[in-house]
Amino acid sequence: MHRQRCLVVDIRGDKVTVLTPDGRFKNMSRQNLDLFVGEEVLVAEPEASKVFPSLFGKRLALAAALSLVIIISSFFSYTRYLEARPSLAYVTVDFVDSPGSIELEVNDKGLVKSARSFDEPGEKVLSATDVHLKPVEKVVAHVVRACGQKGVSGVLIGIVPIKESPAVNSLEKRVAEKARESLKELERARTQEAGTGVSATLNTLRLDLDIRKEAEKLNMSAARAAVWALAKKSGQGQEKEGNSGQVNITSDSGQGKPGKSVSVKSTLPSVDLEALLKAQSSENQKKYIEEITRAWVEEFKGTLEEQDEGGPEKPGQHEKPEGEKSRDQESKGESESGKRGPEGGNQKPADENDKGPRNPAGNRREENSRTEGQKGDRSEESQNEGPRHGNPGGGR
Amino acid sequence: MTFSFTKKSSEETLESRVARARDGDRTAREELIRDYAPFILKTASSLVKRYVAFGKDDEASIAMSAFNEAIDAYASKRPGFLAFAATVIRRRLVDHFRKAVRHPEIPFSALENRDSGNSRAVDIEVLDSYGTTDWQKVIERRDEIERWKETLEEFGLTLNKVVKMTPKHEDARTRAIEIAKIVARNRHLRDKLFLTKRLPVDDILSWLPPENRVSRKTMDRQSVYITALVIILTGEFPSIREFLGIDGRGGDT
Repeated sequence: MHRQRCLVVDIRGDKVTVLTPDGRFKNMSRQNLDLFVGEEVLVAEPEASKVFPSLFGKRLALAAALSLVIIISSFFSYTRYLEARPSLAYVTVDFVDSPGSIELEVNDKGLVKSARSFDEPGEKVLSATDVHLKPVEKVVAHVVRACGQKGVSGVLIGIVPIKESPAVNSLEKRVAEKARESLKELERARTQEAGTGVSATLNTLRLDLDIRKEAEKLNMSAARAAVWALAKKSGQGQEKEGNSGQVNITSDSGQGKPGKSVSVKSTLPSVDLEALLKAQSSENQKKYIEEITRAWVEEFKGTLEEQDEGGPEKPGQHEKPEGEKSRDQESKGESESGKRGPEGGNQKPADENDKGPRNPAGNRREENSRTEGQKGDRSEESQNEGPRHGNPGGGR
Repeated sequence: MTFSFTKKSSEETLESRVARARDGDRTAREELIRDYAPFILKTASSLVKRYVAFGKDDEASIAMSAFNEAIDAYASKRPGFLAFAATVIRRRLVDHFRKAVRHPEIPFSALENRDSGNSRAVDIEVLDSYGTTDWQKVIERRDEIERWKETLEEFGLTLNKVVKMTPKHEDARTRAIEIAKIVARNRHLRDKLFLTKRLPVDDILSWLPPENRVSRKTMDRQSVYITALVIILTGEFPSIREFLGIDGRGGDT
């Protein structure tokens, strides 16, 4: 505590008035000290009184402190309020020719309520970022940037409305827009680095909760399951020489037990989903996708169950599901090393003639938008090739 | 043994006797000490909280020595010698106790603030050991302060009013001090102030240089404080000016 030399100028009973060297007067309690007018004394100058020199200042400080408490408590109340908001939709982000698969639960304010990943790259992104109650479009943009840094030829965004409403349309639009911006950034960066740009597609796919439920059985995102199912159904999936990646699919065992897993080598299917869905009326598309997805999932589940009954799986024992002839099974033990889903490094980026999945368009809403600069080639490409899809998911 | 508290002569005040004693009248000094021995013992006893007597207690001797020192320091004709002497005695005894603080017979209560029992933090602290010269300065300053208060009364002011009207903010106070200096140096303004006993606000406002310009409202609000300062700056108050670190006597303008 700072002490100031003061001059005693008046003593009245228990009160003393002192003069400070800077011309102030202070009335104080004499504290029964032997004081004499004209003598110098040391007077305590509390630090606090420098900060809040007046009663008004002290009141102001008190008011500020109270306001701070109110603001902080309001903030937590608002957070609780946001957490309690109803969910609007699930938004999934999957990458073509590159691993990375996540699902975000979005509330009616467009904020991420919860997030989960279906593979290691997705897990890494989510664990490195706090996405809780962040705007979904920003989270999607971040995920696209993070997962697409090593190169990505396409992004598939799935929208699974929990309840259909105009807000879902707005959500889809915002998410697609931000994802497209992120893709452009990635392209620009890669163009500067490598000198050549790589075409990247952005597709959005509107699905429903039933499809998501089916996909959950294989622990993969709804959009990924649907695209694989469509690819298989169309029979357009073709094994490409050297264009295979290892994926790992884990069944949901339920009851909290670890799921069974089967690793398959997969060739990315090339299907023209746009053309495939064109055959269906808009009313039937949803049902159609749901049916084929369910069938595809059941088929895969059957494979997993056979593997379970057959004891420890050995390479080559696993019966390949129909339409997935190119997938080779590996034992569970062996799959550990490659359990984290399709490794991008094992999969070649789409070549010039294989430009990735055209949107399973037609399915409710389709955004089959190539990023700017690529659009000019769009019609020509669609004639040449069907869409290219990522692996059917890498269950963890 | 009996003591007389009556004045030596009906005309002579205690302060006059003190002045004579200080001027070298040994008889006057001895008479003062003898006459005021009960006062000395009472002051000492009240501090140590027990009866003390000459020739028996050190405290009595110290108190008498302090009284003698008070006579030397009290260079004033103003009343108040006894209060001053009592202060000097108590301070001297406290100094004595502090120096011998390890002695078991020391009354520790004497070292405590006399508001012992009050848990409030001590805001005021007296300076350590005053010598005769220091006490002389105290008396000199006290006389100046008393004169200043008397002058303030001539202007219809009291110290209490000055205290209340002192600007709270440092900037405002500094500005008021600067204005007071200008008034103190300006013969016209100064004369008008002492003639009318009122601060010539309009004249001052027209006289102020641009850097010191203030509103009339501010000047009205600070007029009491400025007046009090002008009195200090222009009168015989060197100790107060020295304490405030101001000097308004920079020549007339």
